[in-house]
Amino acid sequence: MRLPGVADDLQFREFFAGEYGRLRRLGFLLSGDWAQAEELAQEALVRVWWVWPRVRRLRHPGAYARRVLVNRHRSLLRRAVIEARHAVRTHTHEAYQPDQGEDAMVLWAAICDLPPRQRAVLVLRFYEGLTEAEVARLLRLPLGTVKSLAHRGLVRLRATLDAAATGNPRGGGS
Amino acid sequence: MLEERVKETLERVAETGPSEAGGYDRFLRRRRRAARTLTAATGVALVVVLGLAVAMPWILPTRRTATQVTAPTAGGGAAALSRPHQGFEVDLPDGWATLGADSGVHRVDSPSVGTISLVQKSPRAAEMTISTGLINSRYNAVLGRPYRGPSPPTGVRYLEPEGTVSSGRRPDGRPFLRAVQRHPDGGGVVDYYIWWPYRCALGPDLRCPAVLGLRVLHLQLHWTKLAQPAKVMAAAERVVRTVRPIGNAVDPAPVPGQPTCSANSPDRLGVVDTYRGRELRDPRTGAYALAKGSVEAMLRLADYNLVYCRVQHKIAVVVMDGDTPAAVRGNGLAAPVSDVLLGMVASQPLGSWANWQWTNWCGSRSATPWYVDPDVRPAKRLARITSSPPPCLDPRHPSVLQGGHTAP
Repeated sequence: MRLPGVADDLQFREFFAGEYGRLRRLGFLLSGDWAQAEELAQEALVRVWWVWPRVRRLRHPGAYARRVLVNRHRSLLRRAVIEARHAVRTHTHEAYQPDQGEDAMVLWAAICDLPPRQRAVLVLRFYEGLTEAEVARLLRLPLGTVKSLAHRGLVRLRATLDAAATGNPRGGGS
Repeated sequence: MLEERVKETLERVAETGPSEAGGYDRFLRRRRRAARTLTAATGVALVVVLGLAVAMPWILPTRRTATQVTAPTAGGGAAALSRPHQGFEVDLPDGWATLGADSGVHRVDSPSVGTISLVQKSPRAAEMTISTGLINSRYNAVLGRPYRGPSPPTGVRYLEPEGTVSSGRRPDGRPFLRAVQRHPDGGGVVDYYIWWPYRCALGPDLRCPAVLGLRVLHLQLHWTKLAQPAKVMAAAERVVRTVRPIGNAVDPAPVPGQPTCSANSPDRLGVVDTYRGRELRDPRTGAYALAKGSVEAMLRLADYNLVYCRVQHKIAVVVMDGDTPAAVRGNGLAAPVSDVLLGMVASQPLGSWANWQWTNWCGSRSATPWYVDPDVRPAKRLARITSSPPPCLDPRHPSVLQGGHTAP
Protein backbone atom coordinates (compact mmCIF):
# COMPACT_ATOMS: atom_id res chain seq x y z
CA MET A 1 0.00 0.00 0.00
CA ARG A 2 1.39 3.41 -0.94
CA LEU A 3 0.94 6.01 1.75
CA PRO A 4 -0.50 9.38 0.72
CA GLY A 5 2.06 11.99 -0.30
CA VAL A 6 2.10 15.74 -0.60
CA ALA A 7 0.26 15.91 -3.90
CA ASP A 8 -2.35 13.61 -2.39
CA ASP A 9 -2.53 16.01 0.51
CA LEU A 10 -3.50 18.89 -1.75
CA GLN A 11 -6.08 16.80 -3.50
CA PHE A 12 -7.36 15.49 -0.23
CA ARG A 13 -7.77 19.03 1.11
CA GLU A 14 -10.04 19.73 -1.78
CA PHE A 15 -11.93 16.53 -1.13
CA PHE A 16 -12.15 17.38 2.55
CA ALA A 17 -13.53 20.82 1.77
CA GLY A 18 -16.25 19.31 -0.37
CA GLU A 19 -17.23 16.40 1.84
CA TYR A 20 -16.66 17.38 5.43
CA GLY A 21 -19.86 19.37 5.90
CA ARG A 22 -21.91 16.80 4.06
CA LEU A 23 -20.56 13.93 6.16
CA ARG A 24 -21.08 15.90 9.32
CA ARG A 25 -24.69 16.56 8.45
CA LEU A 26 -25.24 12.90 7.62
CA GLY A 27 -23.61 11.93 10.91
CA PHE A 28 -25.93 14.27 12.74
CA LEU A 29 -29.03 12.92 11.08
CA LEU A 30 -27.97 9.39 11.96
CA SER A 31 -26.89 10.09 15.51
CA GLY A 32 -28.87 13.19 16.51
CA ASP A 33 -25.82 14.71 18.13
CA TRP A 34 -23.46 17.21 16.53
CA ALA A 35 -20.53 16.13 18.70
CA GLN A 36 -20.98 12.54 17.64
CA ALA A 37 -21.51 13.68 14.07
CA GLU A 38 -18.17 15.46 14.19
CA GLU A 39 -16.53 12.31 15.52
CA LEU A 40 -18.09 10.20 12.82
CA ALA A 41 -17.12 12.57 10.03
CA GLN A 42 -13.56 12.98 11.28
CA GLU A 43 -13.11 9.26 11.78
CA ALA A 44 -14.46 8.55 8.31
CA LEU A 45 -12.15 11.11 6.72
CA VAL A 46 -9.08 9.81 8.55
CA ARG A 47 -9.89 6.31 7.32
CA VAL A 48 -10.36 7.64 3.82
CA TRP A 49 -7.02 9.44 4.07
CA TRP A 50 -5.14 6.21 4.75
CA VAL A 51 -6.39 4.71 1.52
CA TRP A 52 -6.60 7.99 -0.40
CA PRO A 53 -4.28 6.96 -3.25
CA ARG A 54 -6.76 4.20 -4.02
CA VAL A 55 -9.97 6.03 -3.17
CA ARG A 56 -9.21 9.13 -5.23
CA ARG A 57 -9.36 7.00 -8.35
CA LEU A 58 -12.90 5.96 -7.60
CA ARG A 59 -15.68 7.57 -9.55
CA HIS A 60 -17.30 8.86 -6.37
CA PRO A 61 -14.81 9.11 -3.52
CA GLY A 62 -17.50 10.85 -1.49
CA ALA A 63 -19.69 7.77 -1.65
CA TYR A 64 -16.83 5.75 -0.23
CA ALA A 65 -16.50 8.18 2.68
CA ARG A 66 -20.23 8.00 3.27
CA ARG A 67 -20.04 4.23 3.37
CA VAL A 68 -17.23 4.39 5.94
CA LEU A 69 -19.28 6.79 8.07
CA VAL A 70 -22.41 4.69 7.91
CA ASN A 71 -20.48 1.52 8.75
CA ARG A 72 -18.78 3.25 11.63
CA HIS A 73 -22.11 4.41 12.94
CA ARG A 74 -23.51 0.90 12.64
CA SER A 75 -20.62 -0.64 14.50
CA LEU A 76 -20.99 1.92 17.27
CA LEU A 77 -24.61 1.02 17.53
CA ARG A 78 -23.79 -2.64 17.57
CA ARG A 79 -21.26 -2.18 20.33
CA ALA A 80 -23.50 -0.25 22.62
CA VAL A 81 -27.06 -0.30 21.43
CA ILE A 82 -28.55 0.79 24.70
CA GLU A 83 -26.09 3.62 25.27
CA ALA A 84 -26.39 4.79 21.72
CA ARG A 85 -30.14 4.89 21.90
CA HIS A 86 -29.95 6.73 25.17
CA ALA A 87 -27.50 9.21 23.72
CA VAL A 88 -29.73 9.81 20.74
CA ARG A 89 -32.65 10.62 22.96
CA THR A 90 -30.63 12.74 25.30
CA HIS A 91 -29.02 14.95 22.73
CA THR A 92 -31.55 15.32 20.02
CA HIS A 93 -33.84 17.95 21.34
CA GLU A 94 -31.18 20.22 22.71
CA ALA A 95 -29.18 20.03 19.51
CA TYR A 96 -31.96 21.17 17.21
CA GLN A 97 -32.87 24.81 17.33
CA PRO A 98 -36.56 24.84 16.59
CA ASP A 99 -36.63 27.84 14.29
CA GLN A 100 -38.17 25.96 11.42
CA GLY A 101 -41.70 25.73 12.69
CA GLU A 102 -43.46 23.50 15.13
CA ASP A 103 -44.46 21.00 12.48
CA ALA A 104 -40.87 20.31 11.49
CA MET A 105 -39.88 20.11 15.12
CA VAL A 106 -42.50 17.46 15.82
CA LEU A 107 -41.43 15.49 12.78
CA TRP A 108 -37.75 15.68 13.70
CA ALA A 109 -38.50 14.55 17.25
CA ALA A 110 -40.43 11.63 15.78
CA ILE A 111 -37.54 10.74 13.49
CA CYS A 112 -35.22 10.75 16.49
CA ASP A 113 -37.49 8.33 18.28
CA LEU A 114 -37.35 5.82 15.48
CA PRO A 115 -35.26 2.68 15.98
CA PRO A 116 -31.78 3.25 14.56
CA ARG A 117 -32.20 1.07 11.49
CA GLN A 118 -35.50 2.65 10.48
CA ARG A 119 -34.00 6.05 10.98
CA ALA A 120 -30.89 5.21 8.98
CA VAL A 121 -32.99 3.93 6.09
CA LEU A 122 -35.12 7.09 6.05
CA VAL A 123 -32.10 9.38 6.26
CA LEU A 124 -30.31 7.59 3.45
CA ARG A 125 -33.46 7.43 1.32
CA PHE A 126 -34.74 10.93 1.77
CA TYR A 127 -31.74 13.03 2.74
CA GLU A 128 -29.03 11.33 0.73
CA GLY A 129 -31.46 10.52 -2.07
CA LEU A 130 -30.33 6.91 -2.42
CA THR A 131 -32.52 4.28 -3.99
CA GLU A 132 -33.74 1.38 -1.86
CA ALA A 133 -31.27 -0.91 -3.61
CA GLU A 134 -28.41 1.47 -2.82
CA VAL A 135 -29.49 1.70 0.79
CA ALA A 136 -29.63 -2.08 0.98
CA ARG A 137 -26.10 -2.36 -0.36
CA LEU A 138 -24.83 0.33 1.96
CA LEU A 139 -26.41 -1.14 5.08
CA ARG A 140 -25.78 -4.71 3.92
CA LEU A 141 -29.41 -5.59 4.36
CA PRO A 142 -31.73 -7.50 2.06
CA LEU A 143 -33.76 -5.24 -0.21
CA GLY A 144 -36.98 -6.51 1.35
CA THR A 145 -35.78 -5.55 4.80
CA VAL A 146 -34.97 -2.04 3.64
CA LYS A 147 -38.41 -1.67 2.09
CA SER A 148 -39.99 -2.95 5.25
CA LEU A 149 -37.93 -0.65 7.47
CA ALA A 150 -38.78 2.36 5.34
CA HIS A 151 -42.46 1.48 5.35
CA ARG A 152 -42.57 0.90 9.08
CA GLY A 153 -40.65 4.10 9.72
CA LEU A 154 -43.05 6.16 7.66
CA VAL A 155 -46.08 4.52 9.27
CA ARG A 156 -44.69 5.35 12.65
CA LEU A 157 -43.96 8.95 11.69
CA ARG A 158 -47.45 9.35 10.28
CA ALA A 159 -48.94 8.03 13.48
CA THR A 160 -46.85 10.46 15.52
CA LEU A 161 -47.89 13.41 13.38
CA ASP A 162 -51.54 12.39 13.54
CA ALA A 163 -51.28 12.08 17.28
CA ALA A 164 -49.65 15.49 17.54
CA ALA A 165 -52.39 17.01 15.39
CA THR A 166 -55.07 15.60 17.67
CA GLY A 167 -53.22 16.65 20.79
CA ASN A 168 -52.32 13.15 21.96
CA PRO A 169 -48.55 13.21 22.35
CA ARG A 170 -48.28 9.53 23.19
CA GLY A 171 -50.03 8.33 20.12
CA GLY A 172 -46.96 8.04 17.98
CA GLY A 173 -45.38 4.97 19.39
CA SER A 174 -45.99 1.63 17.85
CA MET B 1 -46.81 13.93 1.16
CA LEU B 2 -45.01 12.55 4.15
CA GLU B 3 -41.89 11.56 2.21
CA GLU B 4 -41.46 15.14 1.02
CA ARG B 5 -41.95 16.47 4.52
CA VAL B 6 -39.41 14.04 5.91
CA LYS B 7 -36.92 15.09 3.26
CA GLU B 8 -37.55 18.75 3.89
CA THR B 9 -37.28 18.36 7.65
CA LEU B 10 -34.02 16.43 7.38
CA GLU B 11 -32.55 19.06 5.11
CA ARG B 12 -33.58 21.88 7.40
CA VAL B 13 -32.42 20.18 10.55
CA ALA B 14 -29.07 19.39 8.96
CA GLU B 15 -28.54 23.11 8.38
CA THR B 16 -28.73 23.95 12.06
CA GLY B 17 -25.31 22.68 12.96
CA PRO B 18 -22.48 24.57 14.56
CA SER B 19 -19.80 26.14 12.44
CA GLU B 20 -17.45 23.90 10.51
CA ALA B 21 -14.54 26.20 11.27
CA GLY B 22 -11.43 24.41 12.42
CA GLY B 23 -12.56 21.08 11.02
CA TYR B 24 -9.43 20.56 8.99
CA ASP B 25 -7.20 21.36 11.94
CA ARG B 26 -9.03 18.83 14.04
CA PHE B 27 -8.66 16.37 11.22
CA LEU B 28 -4.92 16.96 11.03
CA ARG B 29 -4.51 16.42 14.74
CA ARG B 30 -6.54 13.25 14.57
CA ARG B 31 -4.56 12.04 11.59
CA ARG B 32 -1.32 12.63 13.45
CA ARG B 33 -2.59 10.64 16.43
CA ALA B 34 -3.61 7.84 14.10
CA ALA B 35 -0.17 7.93 12.49
CA ARG B 36 1.50 7.65 15.87
CA THR B 37 -0.68 4.70 16.77
CA LEU B 38 0.22 3.11 13.47
CA THR B 39 3.90 3.80 14.09
CA ALA B 40 3.66 2.22 17.53
CA ALA B 41 1.83 -0.79 16.11
CA THR B 42 4.43 -1.08 13.39
CA GLY B 43 7.15 -0.94 16.03
CA VAL B 44 5.52 -3.76 17.97
CA ALA B 45 5.17 -5.77 14.79
CA LEU B 46 8.81 -5.10 13.99
CA VAL B 47 9.88 -6.33 17.43
CA VAL B 48 7.84 -9.48 16.94
CA VAL B 49 9.33 -10.06 13.52
CA LEU B 50 12.87 -9.47 14.79
CA GLY B 51 12.22 -11.78 17.69
CA LEU B 52 11.06 -14.47 15.34
CA ALA B 53 14.07 -13.88 13.15
CA VAL B 54 16.39 -14.33 16.10
CA ALA B 55 14.57 -17.38 17.38
CA MET B 56 14.29 -19.03 14.02
CA PRO B 57 17.32 -18.10 11.96
CA TRP B 58 16.44 -20.68 9.36
CA ILE B 59 13.53 -18.52 8.33
CA LEU B 60 15.91 -15.78 7.25
CA PRO B 61 18.88 -17.48 5.64
CA THR B 62 20.60 -14.22 4.81
CA ARG B 63 20.83 -11.04 6.80
CA ARG B 64 18.89 -8.18 5.28
CA THR B 65 19.13 -4.48 5.67
CA ALA B 66 16.09 -2.47 6.50
CA THR B 67 13.97 -1.72 3.49
CA GLN B 68 13.26 1.88 2.64
CA VAL B 69 9.82 3.31 2.40
CA THR B 70 10.56 5.86 -0.27
CA ALA B 71 13.23 6.22 -2.86
CA PRO B 72 14.59 9.62 -3.69
CA THR B 73 15.13 10.87 -7.16
CA ALA B 74 18.56 11.61 -8.36
CA GLY B 75 19.61 15.02 -7.23
CA GLY B 76 21.92 16.78 -4.91
CA GLY B 77 24.47 19.50 -4.82
CA ALA B 78 23.27 22.99 -4.16
CA ALA B 79 20.48 23.04 -6.72
CA ALA B 80 18.01 25.82 -5.98
CA LEU B 81 14.38 24.85 -5.74
CA SER B 82 11.94 27.68 -6.03
CA ARG B 83 8.24 28.24 -5.67
CA PRO B 84 7.71 31.77 -7.02
CA HIS B 85 4.00 31.87 -6.29
CA GLN B 86 4.67 30.91 -2.72
CA GLY B 87 7.55 33.34 -2.53
CA PHE B 88 10.46 31.14 -1.53
CA GLU B 89 13.58 29.54 -2.89
CA VAL B 90 15.72 26.99 -1.12
CA ASP B 91 19.03 25.27 -1.78
CA LEU B 92 18.95 21.53 -1.65
CA PRO B 93 20.84 20.60 1.53
CA ASP B 94 23.81 18.24 1.28
CA GLY B 95 22.76 14.68 1.87
CA TRP B 96 19.17 15.33 0.90
CA ALA B 97 17.25 14.70 -2.31
CA THR B 98 13.98 15.89 -3.69
CA LEU B 99 11.17 13.50 -3.12
CA GLY B 100 10.15 13.30 -6.72
CA ALA B 101 8.43 11.41 -9.42
CA ASP B 102 10.34 8.18 -8.92
CA SER B 103 8.85 7.73 -5.52
CA GLY B 104 5.38 8.18 -6.93
CA VAL B 105 4.67 10.90 -4.39
CA HIS B 106 4.51 14.00 -6.53
CA ARG B 107 6.44 15.88 -9.14
CA VAL B 108 8.49 18.43 -7.36
CA ASP B 109 8.95 20.49 -10.49
CA SER B 110 5.25 20.92 -11.09
CA PRO B 111 4.48 24.62 -10.85
CA SER B 112 1.00 23.86 -9.59
CA VAL B 113 2.38 22.18 -6.50
CA GLY B 114 3.43 24.75 -3.97
CA THR B 115 5.24 22.38 -1.67
CA ILE B 116 8.81 21.16 -1.77
CA SER B 117 9.49 17.78 -0.23
CA LEU B 118 12.94 16.51 0.57
CA VAL B 119 14.16 13.19 1.87
CA GLN B 120 17.42 12.37 3.62
CA LYS B 121 19.53 10.18 1.36
CA SER B 122 21.11 7.90 3.91
CA PRO B 123 19.63 6.70 6.07
CA ARG B 124 16.34 7.48 4.40
CA ALA B 125 14.71 8.09 7.67
CA ALA B 126 13.77 11.76 7.58
CA GLU B 127 11.64 13.97 5.38
CA MET B 128 11.26 17.71 5.13
CA THR B 129 8.37 19.59 3.54
CA ILE B 130 8.40 23.31 2.88
CA SER B 131 5.23 25.19 2.03
CA THR B 132 3.36 28.35 2.89
CA GLY B 133 0.29 28.65 5.06
CA LEU B 134 -1.57 31.00 7.35
CA ILE B 135 -0.76 30.82 11.02
CA ASN B 136 -3.35 31.37 13.72
CA SER B 137 -3.35 35.12 14.39
CA ARG B 138 -2.50 34.76 18.06
CA TYR B 139 0.94 33.43 17.11
CA ASN B 140 1.71 36.54 15.13
CA ALA B 141 2.10 38.35 18.41
CA VAL B 142 4.54 35.66 19.53
CA LEU B 143 6.41 36.28 16.32
CA GLY B 144 6.63 39.91 17.34
CA ARG B 145 4.21 40.99 14.61
CA PRO B 146 0.80 41.40 16.26
CA TYR B 147 -2.08 40.97 13.86
CA ARG B 148 -4.06 44.21 13.55
CA GLY B 149 -6.57 43.41 10.83
CA PRO B 150 -10.23 42.48 11.06
CA SER B 151 -11.18 39.02 12.28
CA PRO B 152 -9.52 36.49 10.01
CA PRO B 153 -12.01 34.61 7.85
CA THR B 154 -13.51 31.51 9.35
CA GLY B 155 -13.23 28.15 7.72
CA VAL B 156 -9.62 28.72 6.79
CA ARG B 157 -7.10 26.18 7.92
CA TYR B 158 -4.74 28.11 10.18
CA LEU B 159 -1.51 26.51 11.24
CA GLU B 160 -1.22 25.81 14.95
CA PRO B 161 2.16 24.98 16.47
CA GLU B 162 2.05 21.82 18.55
CA GLY B 163 4.58 20.54 21.04
CA THR B 164 7.32 22.48 22.79
CA VAL B 165 7.36 25.92 21.20
CA SER B 166 10.34 28.26 21.15
CA SER B 167 11.23 31.22 18.98
CA GLY B 168 14.22 32.40 16.99
CA ARG B 169 15.28 34.89 14.37
CA ARG B 170 16.88 34.40 10.99
CA PRO B 171 19.99 36.33 9.96
CA ASP B 172 17.77 38.64 7.90
CA GLY B 173 15.69 39.42 10.97
CA ARG B 174 12.61 37.38 10.11
CA PRO B 175 11.29 35.81 13.31
CA PHE B 176 10.27 32.18 13.47
CA LEU B 177 8.65 29.73 15.84
CA ARG B 178 9.93 26.23 16.39
CA ALA B 179 7.64 23.47 17.71
CA VAL B 180 9.22 20.16 18.67
CA GLN B 181 7.40 16.90 19.27
CA ARG B 182 9.39 13.82 20.18
CA HIS B 183 7.73 10.45 19.96
CA PRO B 184 8.38 7.64 22.43
CA ASP B 185 9.62 5.39 19.64
CA GLY B 186 12.58 7.71 18.92
CA GLY B 187 11.02 9.55 16.01
CA GLY B 188 9.78 13.09 16.06
CA VAL B 189 8.49 16.15 14.28
CA VAL B 190 9.79 19.70 14.24
CA ASP B 191 7.75 22.48 12.70
CA TYR B 192 9.20 25.86 11.86
CA TYR B 193 6.93 28.80 11.13
CA ILE B 194 8.83 31.70 9.61
CA TRP B 195 7.12 35.08 9.26
CA TRP B 196 6.63 35.31 5.51
CA PRO B 197 3.91 37.88 4.79
CA TYR B 198 2.45 38.20 1.35
CA ARG B 199 3.27 41.53 -0.25
CA CYS B 200 0.54 42.78 -2.53
CA ALA B 201 1.23 44.90 -5.55
CA LEU B 202 -1.67 43.97 -7.68
CA GLY B 203 -2.89 47.38 -8.71
CA PRO B 204 -4.96 50.14 -7.15
CA ASP B 205 -8.26 48.24 -7.43
CA LEU B 206 -7.12 45.31 -5.35
CA ARG B 207 -6.43 45.71 -1.69
CA CYS B 208 -4.23 43.26 0.05
CA PRO B 209 -6.29 41.63 2.81
CA ALA B 210 -4.77 41.92 6.25
CA VAL B 211 -5.06 38.18 6.63
CA LEU B 212 -2.15 37.75 4.23
CA GLY B 213 0.04 39.17 6.97
CA LEU B 214 -0.51 35.82 8.66
CA ARG B 215 1.36 33.96 5.98
CA VAL B 216 4.28 31.92 7.24
CA LEU B 217 6.77 29.66 5.57
CA HIS B 218 6.16 26.29 7.14
CA LEU B 219 8.95 23.77 7.26
CA GLN B 220 8.08 20.44 8.75
CA LEU B 221 10.69 17.83 9.52
CA HIS B 222 9.72 14.23 10.31
CA TRP B 223 12.18 11.61 11.35
CA THR B 224 11.99 8.02 12.46
CA LYS B 225 14.07 6.25 15.05
CA LEU B 226 16.53 5.23 12.33
CA ALA B 227 17.59 8.84 11.90
CA GLN B 228 20.04 10.87 13.97
CA PRO B 229 17.80 13.60 15.35
CA ALA B 230 20.60 16.11 15.94
CA LYS B 231 21.82 15.74 12.39
CA VAL B 232 18.48 16.07 10.65
CA MET B 233 17.43 18.92 12.94
CA ALA B 234 20.64 20.74 12.09
CA ALA B 235 19.87 20.31 8.39
CA ALA B 236 16.39 21.72 8.91
CA GLU B 237 17.76 24.62 10.91
CA ARG B 238 20.17 25.41 8.08
CA VAL B 239 17.29 25.49 5.62
CA VAL B 240 15.31 27.75 7.93
CA ARG B 241 18.21 30.18 8.07
CA THR B 242 19.01 30.13 4.38
CA VAL B 243 15.69 29.83 2.57
CA ARG B 244 15.30 32.95 0.46
CA PRO B 245 12.21 35.13 0.10
CA ILE B 246 11.40 35.88 -3.51
CA GLY B 247 8.54 37.38 -5.49
CA ASN B 248 5.54 38.20 -3.36
CA ALA B 249 7.49 37.66 -0.14
CA VAL B 250 9.96 40.45 -0.91
CA ASP B 251 9.52 44.06 0.10
CA PRO B 252 9.21 46.08 -2.15
CA ALA B 253 7.29 43.54 -4.09
CA PRO B 254 8.17 42.46 -7.59
CA VAL B 255 5.12 40.18 -7.56
CA PRO B 256 4.44 38.00 -10.53
CA GLY B 257 1.10 39.64 -11.27
CA GLN B 258 -1.93 37.45 -11.22
CA PRO B 259 -1.07 33.96 -12.24
CA THR B 260 -3.80 31.72 -13.47
CA CYS B 261 -5.27 29.45 -10.87
CA SER B 262 -4.17 25.83 -10.81
CA ALA B 263 -3.03 25.79 -14.42
CA ASN B 264 -6.36 27.42 -15.25
CA SER B 265 -8.15 24.15 -15.44
CA PRO B 266 -11.78 24.48 -14.40
CA ASP B 267 -12.13 20.87 -13.37
CA ARG B 268 -9.43 21.53 -10.81
CA LEU B 269 -11.27 24.52 -9.48
CA GLY B 270 -14.89 23.60 -9.17
CA VAL B 271 -16.49 22.34 -6.04
CA VAL B 272 -19.92 21.17 -7.00
CA ASP B 273 -22.90 21.31 -4.75
CA THR B 274 -26.34 20.21 -5.75
CA TYR B 275 -29.61 20.92 -4.04
CA ARG B 276 -33.00 19.61 -4.85
CA GLY B 277 -36.38 20.41 -3.42
CA ARG B 278 -38.23 23.49 -2.44
CA GLU B 279 -37.34 26.49 -0.39
CA LEU B 280 -34.01 25.11 0.64
CA ARG B 281 -31.78 27.74 2.09
CA ASP B 282 -28.23 27.77 0.94
CA PRO B 283 -26.31 26.53 3.97
CA ARG B 284 -23.43 28.91 3.22
CA THR B 285 -25.24 32.17 2.75
CA GLY B 286 -28.54 31.30 4.38
CA ALA B 287 -30.16 33.55 1.82
CA TYR B 288 -31.08 31.55 -1.20
CA ALA B 289 -34.41 29.90 -1.89
CA LEU B 290 -35.17 27.34 -4.53
CA ALA B 291 -38.25 27.38 -6.65
CA LYS B 292 -40.53 24.43 -6.07
CA GLY B 293 -39.51 21.30 -7.89
CA SER B 294 -36.22 22.60 -9.18
CA VAL B 295 -32.73 21.22 -9.16
CA GLU B 296 -30.02 23.67 -8.33
CA ALA B 297 -26.41 23.20 -9.23
CA MET B 298 -23.81 25.47 -7.71
CA LEU B 299 -20.26 25.63 -8.88
CA ARG B 300 -18.02 27.12 -6.26
CA LEU B 301 -14.55 28.12 -7.23
CA ALA B 302 -11.62 27.32 -5.08
CA ASP B 303 -7.91 27.37 -5.32
CA TYR B 304 -5.29 26.10 -2.98
CA ASN B 305 -2.11 27.81 -3.98
CA LEU B 306 -2.30 30.57 -1.42
CA VAL B 307 -1.67 33.27 -3.97
CA TYR B 308 -3.81 35.73 -5.77
CA CYS B 309 -4.70 34.23 -9.07
CA ARG B 310 -7.11 34.94 -11.86
CA VAL B 311 -9.61 32.51 -13.22
CA GLN B 312 -11.30 33.20 -16.52
CA HIS B 313 -13.59 30.59 -17.86
CA LYS B 314 -16.92 29.73 -19.21
CA ILE B 315 -18.67 26.83 -17.62
CA ALA B 316 -21.87 25.43 -19.05
CA VAL B 317 -24.47 22.99 -17.86
CA VAL B 318 -25.79 20.48 -20.35
CA VAL B 319 -28.54 18.01 -19.56
CA MET B 320 -27.80 14.78 -21.36
CA ASP B 321 -30.36 12.13 -22.18
CA GLY B 322 -28.17 9.18 -22.96
CA ASP B 323 -25.54 10.41 -25.37
CA THR B 324 -27.51 13.33 -26.72
CA PRO B 325 -28.46 16.66 -25.22
CA ALA B 326 -31.93 16.51 -23.71
CA ALA B 327 -34.84 18.63 -24.91
CA VAL B 328 -34.48 21.32 -22.30
CA ARG B 329 -34.95 24.99 -23.03
CA GLY B 330 -31.71 26.77 -22.31
CA ASN B 331 -29.75 23.52 -22.40
CA GLY B 332 -26.04 24.29 -22.56
CA LEU B 333 -26.42 27.60 -20.77
CA ALA B 334 -22.96 28.92 -20.06
CA ALA B 335 -21.84 31.14 -17.23
CA PRO B 336 -18.83 33.39 -17.52
CA VAL B 337 -16.68 32.70 -14.54
CA SER B 338 -14.13 35.40 -14.13
CA ASP B 339 -12.74 36.49 -10.87
CA VAL B 340 -9.65 37.05 -8.88
CA LEU B 341 -9.41 34.42 -6.22
CA LEU B 342 -7.41 34.45 -3.13
CA GLY B 343 -6.39 30.84 -2.96
CA MET B 344 -6.49 29.40 0.49
CA VAL B 345 -5.56 26.13 2.02
CA ALA B 346 -9.06 26.03 3.27
CA SER B 347 -12.59 25.06 2.69
CA GLN B 348 -13.88 28.57 2.27
CA PRO B 349 -11.72 30.48 -0.12
CA LEU B 350 -12.68 33.99 -1.04
CA GLY B 351 -14.17 33.05 -4.34
CA SER B 352 -17.24 33.19 -6.42
CA TRP B 353 -19.84 30.79 -7.61
CA ALA B 354 -22.24 30.22 -10.44
CA ASN B 355 -25.57 28.51 -10.29
CA TRP B 356 -28.19 26.99 -12.54
CA GLN B 357 -31.74 25.80 -11.96
CA TRP B 358 -33.45 23.06 -13.89
CA THR B 359 -37.20 22.57 -13.60
CA ASN B 360 -40.10 20.56 -14.98
CA TRP B 361 -38.59 17.47 -16.51
CA CYS B 362 -41.15 14.99 -17.85
CA GLY B 363 -38.77 12.79 -19.83
CA SER B 364 -36.54 9.89 -18.93
CA ARG B 365 -35.48 9.72 -15.30
CA SER B 366 -32.01 8.79 -16.42
CA ALA B 367 -31.36 12.26 -17.87
CA THR B 368 -28.26 13.70 -16.25
CA PRO B 369 -26.90 17.24 -16.04
CA TRP B 370 -23.18 17.78 -16.55
CA TYR B 371 -20.79 20.65 -16.18
CA VAL B 372 -18.94 21.09 -19.43
CA ASP B 373 -16.17 23.28 -20.68
CA PRO B 374 -17.75 24.98 -23.70
CA ASP B 375 -14.45 26.41 -24.86
CA VAL B 376 -13.20 22.98 -25.78
CA ARG B 377 -14.43 21.37 -29.00
CA PRO B 378 -16.02 18.91 -28.69
CA ALA B 379 -17.28 20.12 -25.34
CA LYS B 380 -15.46 18.45 -22.51
CA ARG B 381 -17.52 17.02 -19.68
CA LEU B 382 -16.03 18.13 -16.40
CA ALA B 383 -18.25 16.75 -13.72
CA ARG B 384 -21.55 15.00 -13.42
CA ILE B 385 -24.05 16.91 -11.35
CA THR B 386 -25.26 14.29 -8.98
CA SER B 387 -28.96 14.72 -8.77
CA SER B 388 -31.99 12.96 -10.10
CA PRO B 389 -33.99 15.08 -12.55
CA PRO B 390 -36.52 17.55 -11.21
CA PRO B 391 -40.14 16.41 -11.03
CA CYS B 392 -42.59 16.82 -13.89
CA LEU B 393 -44.72 19.82 -12.98
CA ASP B 394 -46.60 20.27 -16.22
CA PRO B 395 -46.00 18.14 -19.34
CA ARG B 396 -47.54 20.87 -21.53
CA HIS B 397 -44.71 23.20 -20.68
CA PRO B 398 -41.09 22.74 -21.64
CA SER B 399 -38.38 21.74 -19.29
CA VAL B 400 -36.24 24.78 -18.54
CA LEU B 401 -32.66 25.39 -17.52
CA GLN B 402 -32.17 28.86 -16.08
CA GLY B 403 -29.51 30.84 -14.38
CA GLY B 404 -25.95 30.57 -15.44
CA HIS B 405 -25.15 33.74 -13.60
CA THR B 406 -22.31 34.25 -11.23
CA ALA B 407 -22.20 35.93 -7.92
CA PRO B 408 -19.31 37.08 -5.78
